[in-house]
Amino acid sequence: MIDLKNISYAYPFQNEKALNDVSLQVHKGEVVLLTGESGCGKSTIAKVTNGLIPHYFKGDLQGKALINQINSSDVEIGEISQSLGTLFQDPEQQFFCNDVYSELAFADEVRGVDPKLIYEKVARLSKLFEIENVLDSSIYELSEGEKQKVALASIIVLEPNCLVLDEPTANLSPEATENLGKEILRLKKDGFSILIVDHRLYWLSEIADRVLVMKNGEVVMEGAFSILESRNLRTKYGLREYCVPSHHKSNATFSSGLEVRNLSFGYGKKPRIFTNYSVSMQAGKVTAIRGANGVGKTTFSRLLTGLLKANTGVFLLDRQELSPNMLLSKTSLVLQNMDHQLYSRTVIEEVEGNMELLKRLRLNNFSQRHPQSLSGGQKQRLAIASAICRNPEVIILDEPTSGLDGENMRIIGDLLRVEAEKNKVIIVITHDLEFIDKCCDEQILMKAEK
Amino acid sequence: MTGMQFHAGDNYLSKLNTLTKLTITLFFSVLIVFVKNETALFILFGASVFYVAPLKRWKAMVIGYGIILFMYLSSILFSALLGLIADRFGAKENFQMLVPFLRVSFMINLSLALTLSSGVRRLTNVLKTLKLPRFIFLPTIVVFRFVPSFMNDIKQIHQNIKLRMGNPNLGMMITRPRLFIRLMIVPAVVRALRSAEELSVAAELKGIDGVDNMINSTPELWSWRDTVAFSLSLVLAATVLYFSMEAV
Repeated sequence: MIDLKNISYAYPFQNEKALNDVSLQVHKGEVVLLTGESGCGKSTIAKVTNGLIPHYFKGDLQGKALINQINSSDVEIGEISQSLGTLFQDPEQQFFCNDVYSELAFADEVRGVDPKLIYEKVARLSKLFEIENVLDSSIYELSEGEKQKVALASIIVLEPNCLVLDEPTANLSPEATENLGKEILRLKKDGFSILIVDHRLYWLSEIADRVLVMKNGEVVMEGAFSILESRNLRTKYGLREYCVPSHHKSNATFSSGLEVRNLSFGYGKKPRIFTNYSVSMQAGKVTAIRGANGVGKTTFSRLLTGLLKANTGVFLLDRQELSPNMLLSKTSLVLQNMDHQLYSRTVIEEVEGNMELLKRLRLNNFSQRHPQSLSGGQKQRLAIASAICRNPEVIILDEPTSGLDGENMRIIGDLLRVEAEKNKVIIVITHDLEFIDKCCDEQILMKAEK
Repeated sequence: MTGMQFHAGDNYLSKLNTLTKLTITLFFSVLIVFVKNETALFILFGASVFYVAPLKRWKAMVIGYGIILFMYLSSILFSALLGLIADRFGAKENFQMLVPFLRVSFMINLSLALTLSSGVRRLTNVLKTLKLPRFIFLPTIVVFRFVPSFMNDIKQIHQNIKLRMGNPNLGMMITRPRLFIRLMIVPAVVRALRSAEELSVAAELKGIDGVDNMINSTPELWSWRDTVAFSLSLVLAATVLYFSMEAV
């Protein structure tokens, strides 16, 4: 059982409290959803629960975090992780080993578990999470969705009875999200106490027993999942939709834009990801690219920008053939890891002095800050702004809304619509059904090679 | 058993026992301190290139050697400039100045071979069996894990620069050093700091600290390759020592 009693916390060198007198319980066999706008303190709750605060992140902590009646401040993190597993927002943060098998086996090896048992557990979990085919792979070769599955398997392998899942579906396809939902229901039946921190709400309607809504470091609302059906409540607290329509947007007739003809590509001697693949993306529209995890969406975005060279195939922009170098100059790509993409000395410099753009993304108050000092969500918006202000003809965004609350998702959606109206090709690689529904005109469903 | 298999890699370096690789690395790390003869150092460097070659990390190797060559040429230039000012700072033999740079190149090759072919799980297992004190064991493991992570970060930063500025090359490094530092070094430092923190957290969550009964679920056996590797290492060490003695 997870039991937080009157938790208040301020990060080192901060006067303002990140959490203010928060109490919550997650009982045995219960799933609790914790939601709220970006920066409201959800991830800090996760860090208090798994003991990273106060063991790793210092600061001023008051109150008690009890995991199975044991105060997490009194025991080592390694000991806590045997009874409470944490899935981080960015799964790469929790990988310690370089390959998938090692990541799954390592924690049990450290504890001296019988090798036969380790082998059996790894085999069972890899089958359950459908990662058998990547057991030998380096973690750097995995797609974001595969990383998330490996991370989840690597915490379940320790057989904890409490789980904290921080944005567990941020990089999962709708199909994988559905499977994760089924797995959570199974764990709930097995008596797990599960705390889910998430912006995406729709997938939890049949799973969450209770919902807590946070704002400014406090729990402001608590109740059954049905409280999220109130539009007023969602608007007031910057939340996302509680249900998402399942209709698919088709690809309309193509007149001008970006075309890919007969694309073939594979990494080295590995099986081909694309064979004679042809697709077109209309200028003036926002096109979503969807597909199962590991199907090759990010690889496709790198081919479209000229970062990778296709084995065969032609790229045409407004009927004109482009070489990889020309693609590089005409496209902008916003990747998922923001730390690699921001270089300038100040936020305003990153957008070449475009204050209007910063205002629209609500970043104007940070214009003189160093980009690397911003929060994750702010960096995400700045990287998108930076890509837009270079005025490319094609803008590609890889999962631009993972970890964004409802309000920020709407802001980014509106910005992309404005850019599309300038007759640009806007391509969004995303699993976010809500974003597709609200902001995208067309949709391409990518399927794995047979 | 389940029938599931785990393969570390297909090249001979990956098939060597991790203990063999670690011992070779430690042995030559000590030996190279005492080797000052250029011929002996060239032999060691050549052998280390042959040793690391199966990993096919040509880009990483070329970049590493390029940086060392750049530093070597800079040291020659500054040494010559100092020689103009005062005789007592006069330039040493350029060949003689190569010694520390050859040592560093040799150590880069050995470190790459060990970290990229072994995997942190196997290295942790071996280090645990050596019963090293905690203050050596923990940082060593994190450093081993940090190398591939940092290489991956550099690759991604390079791709992002390419997207924004075109292909970064040596010309840009020389003609626009400030821009190069801002584009390459700043994100690299930020990522390095963040990676170090993330790896420490990950290590703590795995319970790596304070457990002494670690086991290996995929134990490595001693094979003829290990015997050959050890024998060749001894022959190499003897050759190097011979050239060093000759020089004296």
